[in-house]
Amino acid sequence: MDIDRPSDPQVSVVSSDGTMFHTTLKSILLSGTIKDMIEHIGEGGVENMGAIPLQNVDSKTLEIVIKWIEHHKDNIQPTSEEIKDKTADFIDPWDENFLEMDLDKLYNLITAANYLNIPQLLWLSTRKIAMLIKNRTPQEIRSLFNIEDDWTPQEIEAVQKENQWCEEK
Amino acid sequence: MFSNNTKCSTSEDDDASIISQYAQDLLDYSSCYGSHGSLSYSAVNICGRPCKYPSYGDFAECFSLRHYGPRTDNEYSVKDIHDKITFHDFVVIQFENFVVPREITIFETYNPGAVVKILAYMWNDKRWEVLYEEQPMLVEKKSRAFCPKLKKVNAMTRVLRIEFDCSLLDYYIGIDSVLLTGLKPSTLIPQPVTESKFIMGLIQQKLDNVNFRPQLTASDAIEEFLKNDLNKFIENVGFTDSAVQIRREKAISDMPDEVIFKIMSFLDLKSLYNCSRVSKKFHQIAKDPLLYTEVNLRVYWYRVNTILFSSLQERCKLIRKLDLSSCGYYGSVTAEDFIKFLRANGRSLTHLRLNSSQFLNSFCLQQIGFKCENLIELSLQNYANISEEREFRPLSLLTRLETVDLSRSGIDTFALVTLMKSNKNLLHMYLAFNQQLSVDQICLHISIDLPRLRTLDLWKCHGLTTAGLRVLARCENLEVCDFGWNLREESIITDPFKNLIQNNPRIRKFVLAAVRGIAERDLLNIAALCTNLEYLDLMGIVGITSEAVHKILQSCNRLKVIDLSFCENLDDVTLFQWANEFNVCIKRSEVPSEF
Repeated sequence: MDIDRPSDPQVSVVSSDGTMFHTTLKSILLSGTIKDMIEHIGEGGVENMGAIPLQNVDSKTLEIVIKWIEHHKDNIQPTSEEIKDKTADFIDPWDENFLEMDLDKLYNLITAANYLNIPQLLWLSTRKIAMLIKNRTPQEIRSLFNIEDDWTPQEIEAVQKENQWCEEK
Repeated sequence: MFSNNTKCSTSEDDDASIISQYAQDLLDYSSCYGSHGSLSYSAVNICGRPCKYPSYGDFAECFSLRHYGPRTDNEYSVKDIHDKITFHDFVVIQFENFVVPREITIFETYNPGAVVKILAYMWNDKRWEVLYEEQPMLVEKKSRAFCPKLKKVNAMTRVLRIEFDCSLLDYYIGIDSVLLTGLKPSTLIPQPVTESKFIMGLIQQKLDNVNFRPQLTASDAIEEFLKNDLNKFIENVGFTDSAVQIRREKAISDMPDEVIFKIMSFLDLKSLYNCSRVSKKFHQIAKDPLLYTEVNLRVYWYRVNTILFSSLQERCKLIRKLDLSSCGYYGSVTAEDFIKFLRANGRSLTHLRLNSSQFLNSFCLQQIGFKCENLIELSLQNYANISEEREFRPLSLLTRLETVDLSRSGIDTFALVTLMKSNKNLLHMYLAFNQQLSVDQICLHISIDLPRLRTLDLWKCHGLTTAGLRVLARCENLEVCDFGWNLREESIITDPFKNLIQNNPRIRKFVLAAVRGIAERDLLNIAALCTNLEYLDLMGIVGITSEAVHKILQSCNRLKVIDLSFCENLDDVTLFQWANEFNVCIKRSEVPSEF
C-alpha cells in the first residue's frame, strides 16, 4: 500500500466501540457517506482532520469493511444507478471468497455498507443473502434467518392460497 | 426393433397391465420447419410409429424445428431465466389411451440432445406434472432412442408436452416419433402413507430446528442417513433440545426495509412469493410493485393459474414487460383474467409476449388495442393454432410499436396494413408462416409506410413475387431479410433483386432458402454488393455453381455462416476445402446414402 505517498494520505476512523483503524483516503472515499463528510471539510483539511468517528459500525465489522475497500480502492466503482440494472453478473472470485462468513457478520456488513453508502459492497452482500433465500420454502427461510412466523390462522389462509402455485407437489 | 426400450424395469408391473403407444394427435406446437398443408418437416410427423429410426439424417418425414443454435431474442426478467431450464420450442401430443406413465422414448433421428423437459397433463388433478427436466446435452450425432429416467407419478395421463432447447445444436433437429409406456389406469392402487415417510417428516422437522440441511439429494441416501446416523450426528455436534434455541444477535427482519427490498430485488418470481409467505413484514416488502416491473410467466407456464394472475394484478402496478407465452392450457388462465389484468395495468406495459397463450381471443386483442397504448413490442406467435375467429383490427389503435411478431398468427392483409399505417416506427416485423397474406401488397405498404424497417421475416409466407420484390427495393434500412420459400414461381428475379441489395447495403442476414429464381448472376450480385453479410441461407438452390459461391466466400468478409444444404451442384470435397480455406461455418444437411 502506498500510504506514504502524498496523493493518498492516511486517514483514521474510529468504530462505535472505540477502536481506531488506519487506512488511506483513496480507500475510504469508496464510502459515499465519508466522501460527503470530507467534501464538507474541504480537501485541504484532510491531513489535519483527525479520526472520523463511525458510531454505527463496530470494530469487527469495520475491520471487514476496511479489508474490502482497501482491496478495491483502485477499481472504478459503479454508481448506484448502474448497479440497479445489474442482475446475475459475473462475481469477482476474490469477492466471492471475501463474502464467505457467517450470517451475523454478513448482516452487520450489510448494515455497515448501507450506512457508509458503499453501493458495490451493498450489492454484493445483499446478493449473497438473496442467493441463500432462492429456492427455499417459507419455513426454510424462517429458520435460516430466525424470523418469527407472525401470521394468524385467519390471515394465513389468503396468503397460502396466493402461494399455492409455487409449492412443489 | 424396440423390445429393449419398451421393457418396463419396475417389478410392480405385470406385463398384461402395460400399454405402449405412439402419439396419436398433435395438439399444439411452437414452431416447425415445415409449413401448414405440407407434410415435409411438419410437427405432425411426430405422431405415429417411427418411419426412419434407426437411420440418421435430415428426413422430411420427421418433425423439425425452424431454429437451432443460441437464441437471439432477449428474455424478459433475466433473474427468472437465470439458472433455470427453459425451452425454446415445444410440442404437445395426445395418445389414444390413458396410462400411468412409466417410460417415454423419443426417437431422435437428427441432431439429438435438445429435449430439456417432459411434462404430462394429469387428468384427475387437472395439472401438469414435470416428468423429466435436464439441461440440453451435447451428444454424439447419431440416431438415438432417448429414454430418460422419469419422475414416478401415480396418476393417469394421455397428453405430453415435450420442450426443446436447441442452443447447443449446430443444425436442425429431427424427431421421428414418441412412445409412451405406462400402466392401465384400472391397475392403479392408491399408495398408503408408509411408516418410513411419516418418520421422515418428524426427523425432517428436527433437522430444520437445528438448522441442518443435508446436502444430498438422492432420497435413498437421506433416508439411510436419517434412519441410522442422525442421532449419532446430533450427539457428536453437541446439539441438545435446549441448544435448538440458538438466537442470533441480529435478525434479518431488523434490517431497514430498503435493505430487505434490495435483497428481494435479486429474486425470481417464485422466490418472491415464498418470501411473502414468511412473515407480515416480508409480505409487505415482497409486494412492492418495483419488484414486478418485468414478469416472465413463460418460465412457470404450467403453474400459472387464475389465483396467481389476480394476485399479480396488484403487484404489477408498474409493470413494463410481461411474457405470458404458453400460459392457459385447459382453462388455467382465462381471457377474462387477462382482460381484467390489462384494464388495471395495461397502460404501463411496453413489452407483451403472448406466444401460444391458450386463452387468447378477439376480446383480448381488442383490450390490447384499447389499453396498451405504450406498447413498443408485441408478440402473438401461433395465435392461428389457438383460435379460429380472429379479429386483429383493434391492434391498429396502437401507435408506438417497434417490434411485432405475428408468426403463424393468422393476421389478415387488411388488418396488417392498418397496423403498419398506424405504427410507422416499426423496426422489426415477423410474419413467418402466414400464407393467407397478400405479401406483395404488404411489401407495397412497407415501402410507403415503414421507412425505418430493419427486419422483415416472410419465411414460408409463399406469396412474395417479383412485383413485391420490386417495391421492397425502395426500402433502405433492411438488415435482416428472410424470404425463405417465397418467389417460388419466378424464373428470373435479377433486376429487382439487385435493386434491393443495392439500396440496402446493411443486410446482415439473408435467408433465400428454396427461392427458385435465384441464379448465378444473383449470387455474383450478392458477392459484389452485400459487404455486411454475416449469414446466408441458400438451402435448396439447385442451379448454383461453385464459382459463384466461391466468389461470395471471397468477397463477403464478414460472413460467418452459409447454409448450402441440398445445393446439388456443390460436392462435399469442394465444401470441405472451403471450410479449411475460409473462416466460415458451412452448413450442409446429412442425407443418408439410400437417397
